[in-house]
Amino acid sequence: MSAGGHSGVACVNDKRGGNKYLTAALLALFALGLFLFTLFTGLR
Amino acid sequence: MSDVAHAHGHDDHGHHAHPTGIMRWLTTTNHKDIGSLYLWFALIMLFAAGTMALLIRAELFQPGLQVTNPDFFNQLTTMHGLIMIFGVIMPAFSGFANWQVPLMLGAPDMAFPRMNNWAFWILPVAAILLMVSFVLPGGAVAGGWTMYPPLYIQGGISYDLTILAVHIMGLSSIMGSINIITTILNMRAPGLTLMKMPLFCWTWLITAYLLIATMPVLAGAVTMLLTDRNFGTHFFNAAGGGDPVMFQHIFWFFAHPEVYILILPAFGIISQVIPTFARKPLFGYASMVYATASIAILSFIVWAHHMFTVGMPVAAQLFFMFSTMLIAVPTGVKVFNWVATMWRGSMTFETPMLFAIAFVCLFTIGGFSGLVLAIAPVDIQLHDTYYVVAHFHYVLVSGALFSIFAGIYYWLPKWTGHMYDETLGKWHFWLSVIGMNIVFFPMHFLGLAGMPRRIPDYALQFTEFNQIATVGAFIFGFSQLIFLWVVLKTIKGGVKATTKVWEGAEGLEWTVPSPAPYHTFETAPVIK
Repeated sequence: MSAGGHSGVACVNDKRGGNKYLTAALLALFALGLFLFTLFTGLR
Repeated sequence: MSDVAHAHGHDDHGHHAHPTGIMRWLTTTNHKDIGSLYLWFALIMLFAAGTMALLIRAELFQPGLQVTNPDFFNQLTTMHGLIMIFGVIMPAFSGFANWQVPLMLGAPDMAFPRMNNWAFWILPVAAILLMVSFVLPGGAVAGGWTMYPPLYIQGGISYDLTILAVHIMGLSSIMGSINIITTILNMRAPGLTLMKMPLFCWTWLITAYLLIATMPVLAGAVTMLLTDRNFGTHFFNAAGGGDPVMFQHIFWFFAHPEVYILILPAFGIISQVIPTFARKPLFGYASMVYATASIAILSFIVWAHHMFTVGMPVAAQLFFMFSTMLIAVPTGVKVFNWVATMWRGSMTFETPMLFAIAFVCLFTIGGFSGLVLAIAPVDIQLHDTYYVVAHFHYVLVSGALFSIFAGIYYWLPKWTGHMYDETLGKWHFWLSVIGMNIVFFPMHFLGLAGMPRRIPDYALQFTEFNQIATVGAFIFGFSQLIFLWVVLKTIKGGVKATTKVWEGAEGLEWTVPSPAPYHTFETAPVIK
């Protein structure tokens, strides 16, 4: 395990991780959508 | 926030074998390590891009060509801009976010420590791509940091490398932003509601949203540049039916919010420093939060004020002119709140506070010259003159960079466990503030007199102000060596810092020992 793996475990254990994967997935999807939208703007 | 029931940090338990040497830094997922990496990266890049600035100023000391040739001069201005924005200011603020956001929230680390490692370690790759282009055939990019076609379609191999570097830096920013938003939304200590968060976390939360909403747009724009260059498309090539002005619209839709990406975290740092040294709570906390959000929202509807000279309907000019002026309202709220925080406070003037006060005064000058430039008919006169250069350097040097200095002096004792040398810190401050004004104030006059930016040679009547600016640049540039010395000296040793460090400091980060242990808040503190 890497140097900070310990704190990663702490994140998982103490419930403060909450919906972090959902939050991150929504943000990443938004970013990807915006990138594609920009490209489509260029195709007009 | 002072009612922290359980806010101690554990020292390193040694549960796991930690890699040492270079492998520690390459594989680290610890937010403090990664924060330090960002800050060191930004410092190295500051000296690289600062050297370019000194070469530019050396050339401009006299009319005619002395130090550079025109093409190399253009490479210097382009790379200076690109590196200062993407390699210095943004990574430095990411460094602060990595160090401080988990400490301020009572979180054990960032939400995604491994992604955090990746977000940093792709940055040096981008920096190498940019710097290597200086030695490639044709030299580095010379078309300006704004990457406008047709220059960016016509250039050599270094333009491809720069586009790739911009993609990488954008990806790094998006990963960092996802991490920061997720950390702030999901990992705050119990009881720490959003409206109890330190303002630095608020400004970074809003900045991260700005990054997510603009970096993909930049990525789209440079992707189209890349396909225009290499795959025969004509997005921006007028000869093939494309529209070069469309690039400007897309670029500035990214780049105006980018201006606030470069300054909102600065507002956050200043909002931490001033209450500490005024020994009063921040005046108008809620209004500061709403003002930050207002600035961020408004930043999306002002982009065409950068392009008044390309030609647009009068109605559009009026819209972009007035929407730009509107930003002065929430910004004014912030400045008045900082002044009101200091009003009748028990102020002391340690180095972080000096930089913070200089920030308030000098950033406001940059804000006012921005208002002047917002006036469409005035902007048409001043567009691409040294007035613009003066304006954005007041915002980015005495604004963003001074806030970074304020933040470093403020938190360095917490990070290293040692107090910095106050005398040297004050020398650094006074030489910086005097040098900075000598460089950039005369540029207002040069711009008003009509000196264009991005030229290595100029008409004789501009000589005196250019010579003054160059002298100031060397004072400012070399005074940063004092900063480097102070940082190295503080890391090496010095008077031991206490847990709270500053008498007036408030917040969770001041409840952990100095230096902050490798792992903190493994047990969540409870905020009452």
